[in-house]
Amino acid sequence: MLSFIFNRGLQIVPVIIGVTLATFLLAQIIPGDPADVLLGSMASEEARQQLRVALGLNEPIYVQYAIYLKNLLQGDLGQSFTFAQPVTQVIVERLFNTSLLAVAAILLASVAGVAAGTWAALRPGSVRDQGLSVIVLFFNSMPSFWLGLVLILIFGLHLRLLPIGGMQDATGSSGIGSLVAHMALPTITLAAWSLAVIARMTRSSILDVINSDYIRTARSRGVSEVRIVLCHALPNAMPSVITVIGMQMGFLLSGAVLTETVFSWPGIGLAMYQAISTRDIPLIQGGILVLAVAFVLINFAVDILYAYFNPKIKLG
Amino acid sequence: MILAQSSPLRPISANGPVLELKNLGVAYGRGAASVQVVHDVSLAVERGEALGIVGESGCGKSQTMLAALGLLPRGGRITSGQVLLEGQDLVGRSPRQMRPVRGREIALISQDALTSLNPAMTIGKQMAEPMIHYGGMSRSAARQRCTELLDLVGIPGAAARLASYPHELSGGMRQRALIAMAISANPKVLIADEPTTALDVTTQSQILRLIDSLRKELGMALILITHDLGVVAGVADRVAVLYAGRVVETAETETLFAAPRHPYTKALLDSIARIEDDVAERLNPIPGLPPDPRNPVSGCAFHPRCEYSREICRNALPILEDGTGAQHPVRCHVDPFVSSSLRAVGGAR
Ligand SMILES: Nc1ncnc2c1ncn2[C@@H]1O[C@H](COP(=O)(O)OP(=O)(O)OP(=O)(O)O)[C@@H](O)[C@H]1O
Ligand code: SF4
Ligand SMILES: [Mg+2]
Repeated sequence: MLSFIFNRGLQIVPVIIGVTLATFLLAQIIPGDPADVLLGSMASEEARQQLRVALGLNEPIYVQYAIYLKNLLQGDLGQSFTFAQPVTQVIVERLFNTSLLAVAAILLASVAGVAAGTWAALRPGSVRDQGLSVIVLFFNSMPSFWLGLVLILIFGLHLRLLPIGGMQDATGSSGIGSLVAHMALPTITLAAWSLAVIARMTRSSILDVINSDYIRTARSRGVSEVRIVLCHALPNAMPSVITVIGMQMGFLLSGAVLTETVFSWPGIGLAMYQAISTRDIPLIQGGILVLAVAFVLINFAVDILYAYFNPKIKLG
Repeated sequence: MILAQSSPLRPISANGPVLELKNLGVAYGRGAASVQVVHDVSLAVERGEALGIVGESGCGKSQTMLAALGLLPRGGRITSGQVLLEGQDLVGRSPRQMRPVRGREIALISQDALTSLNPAMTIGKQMAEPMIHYGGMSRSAARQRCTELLDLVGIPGAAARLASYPHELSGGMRQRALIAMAISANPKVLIADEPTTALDVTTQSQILRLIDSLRKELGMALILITHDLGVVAGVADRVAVLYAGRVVETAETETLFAAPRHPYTKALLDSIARIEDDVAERLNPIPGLPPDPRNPVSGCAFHPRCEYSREICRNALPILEDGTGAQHPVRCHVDPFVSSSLRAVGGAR
């Protein structure tokens, strides 16, 4: 297992280098002169030239990339002018808020999705099974920002049960109750789509394995139907469910950008939304880099989990 | 595969068969799409007796036995008949009512050893599951019992094997583990569905000998399903031959080998691979294929492949005699070997 983790870990290195290259090139492709953006169009040609030299913009492109990597290794992602702060600081401050939302959403989606899918698979074709299919279809055909707006309308404006935004700091300075209340709607919004996909995948993977010979063996030994599904079918269905959960985590990161915007949740997503509106290129670059690296690391974790649930891979 | 010796006939107990199928029918689908895969099968096995069920692939051997255990896959259903366990009918029981029967009264070794063990569970865990959850055993007692069982079926290093996953075991070892699981609750009837397919020849005869000795040791009745008459020769007391979902002949094993009455049985006997032959090759494979139950054959289902077929065979289904006469039951209009079979057993049966 350890050597599997090590080997899989090694494969990450080139991917991460590729990601840095992509974010670096992104700044080259985005039209406009960074000096223009930083200094405004009224600045003198002399001042621009000075800035270009200072930023290394007159160097050949590979030198610029080397400078970018060097800064990156020192944790320097440039300066965000929207927030008048180093990009690293902007991201670090918001990373916690985004992670909190993403982790809460993936937990909700995984636990509720696996539970709902298993529950439906216990009685395929039953009313509960068909009911689940309808809900799945409903969640899957609804854009998450729209669900967010509907939830705001119902729970925030109509029933006045839950706050609809205005979370300033998720580190809990205003108490855990306020945190949970502020998190409820964004978490549900972010989780809904993935929850539906996970539920559907769990159901179909369980039904795929339920006709296996080893299930028949367990039945022929008097094992109860509930144990058959929970202890025999579910573990064998888990590898495909985990793969889907892993893919959902990626979607969830991108979904967080929209959800944070709808609920003004102070995370990386909201910051990136603001950065895009003001063409704050270093912040866009930094945000994408962090999200992409997070995506790669999540997939790494998913692969390890996958191997854990699939003994053939673990030992092979 | 062991052709030479046949086990001595056991005395038949007075208090009736332990498991009896009466006129059992199995079908898939409903209405016009309904396909009858087992027709009117009646079989009985006495306490401690070994019954062989023989027939080509697709003739309904597995479906009959799965129906008896209430384990037909989705879409399959029992259309007629009874499954009597010590006189109690099991047909129509709910899954909850069937559970105490499974494993404890009737145990199954299913057809494919390679896929019949849960790949995501250790051998020990899957063996012990019913003991702990339904047998009221403690974890350590179950562990102890599993070790004994693996020992009993000849798995070396039994205690260490409990922690193995199925893919870490060879095919023969997996089959042994399945046998250990099947006998773990001391069933009265053990159904072994082609326990030796997918194993090499040496392992095949080892597994057969193991099953046979366990049966005698534990006093179980055994239903041995196979497509190879050679397999039942050394093990079964009696044999039922199935063709196209129907019993076509039943007899004591010796009688069946010495004096088969049904042309299909005769053809099967002629096709046995003899172990003393260097080339383990079918001598005379039966020409043609068994019918697909979706396109049933009129009259006697064997008639397209039968060299003794007559007009009546195409039109009328032969009935299975009840075997009260001098000869054992057969389902054939023509009964072509009648004189030779009378000669062989001296007409005394
Ligand atoms: N799930 C199913 N749905 C429809 N038909 C089925 C199903 N399972 C089996 N059958 C049909 O039932 C018939 C009998 O199958 P069965 O498995 O009992 O054969 P068998 O005698 O055990 O053969 P084998 O030696 O190949 O195991 C076959 O013709 C098969 O096509
Ligand atoms: S009934 Fe006719 S076709 Fe069928 S086995 Fe007998 S002789 Fe052959
Ligand atoms: Mg079969």
